[in-house]
Amino acid sequence: MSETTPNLDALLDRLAAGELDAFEPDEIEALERHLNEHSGAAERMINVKPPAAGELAFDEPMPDESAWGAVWDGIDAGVKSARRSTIRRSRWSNLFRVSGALAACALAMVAWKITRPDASAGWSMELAGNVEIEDLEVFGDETGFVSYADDDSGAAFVWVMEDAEGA
Amino acid sequence: MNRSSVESPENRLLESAARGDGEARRTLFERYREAAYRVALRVTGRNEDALDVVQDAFIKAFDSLGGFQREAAFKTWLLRIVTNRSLDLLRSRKVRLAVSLDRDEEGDGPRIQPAGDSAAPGAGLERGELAERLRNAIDALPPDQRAVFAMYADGEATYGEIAEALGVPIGTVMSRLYHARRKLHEMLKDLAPPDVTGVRK
Repeated sequence: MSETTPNLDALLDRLAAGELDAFEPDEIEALERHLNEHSGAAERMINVKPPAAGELAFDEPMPDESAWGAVWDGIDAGVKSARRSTIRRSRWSNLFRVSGALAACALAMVAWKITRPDASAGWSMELAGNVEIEDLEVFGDETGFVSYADDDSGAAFVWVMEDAEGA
Repeated sequence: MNRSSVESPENRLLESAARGDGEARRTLFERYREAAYRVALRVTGRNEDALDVVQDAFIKAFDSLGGFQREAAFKTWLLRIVTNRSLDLLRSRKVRLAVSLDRDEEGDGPRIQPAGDSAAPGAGLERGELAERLRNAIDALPPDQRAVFAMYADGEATYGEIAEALGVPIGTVMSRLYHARRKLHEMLKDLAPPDVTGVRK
């Protein structure tokens, strides 16, 4: 154990010189704290390579080409499967969005019917009746939905939604 | 993707791979598969597990390539995925081992043995046996030290690159590497001349 406060600059110099193994555990503790708490000290060490592994390194034989080929086949299949799964998630997401939009539409209808003002109060809003949609045109990656209210008023809501798949 | 980054050949390759170009992906795979395998093998200690980790890591990397910020090199980013996957595998293996021990079964548990039990000490060991001793010693390191050692052992990475790949501060990398090297030297001291280790007693 060192009995005095370590000279951190000197320790950093030694670390940069590759003397990692020569430190005492308490010096390493002080260095770790210093490096983690002072960005300037850490920046000094960013491009420093640790001492060579030397006798601690060993060359492991690499897999042969057939093993790599099997790994690649697995990657190729896995990427395609991940893509399909993303598309499925996207479809479900689209369905939830449409369901949410329809629920919001129904809620708006109910709220409007309950709270619609008396015509005698002046301005009022009416649903357009007897409207027939002959043609609905959307552009690019958008999808059109026509939703009819569930009474005989003939009211229709038109939703234009961006295609979630971007297809 | 960070479109403002310099259009190096590697960046163009990454752009193509992100768009789903199979050839570009294959090129990236062939370029980095060995580095990924070495790291995975040093962490997991098993060839089959290392290949599984490499496969999973490339799938994850290609699937996430669109969101890859090129502040880090692709290799560093890939090796981070490899290390995380390897550590996940170690954790699940530990759970399996615990279940196996509870049931008092033998079988496909991890091949972790005390280094001193696996081979006779001395200079007469064959190259393969030396590698086996070293691999067993690495297996005996705690996972966080093993991950640092796995990134370091090729001798190519700087403290900064290891820190970035593992997502830990530089001081922590330095400390874990220090303790990993000390333990390995201690476990393998019968294989090296006393003056080679450099460990101060």
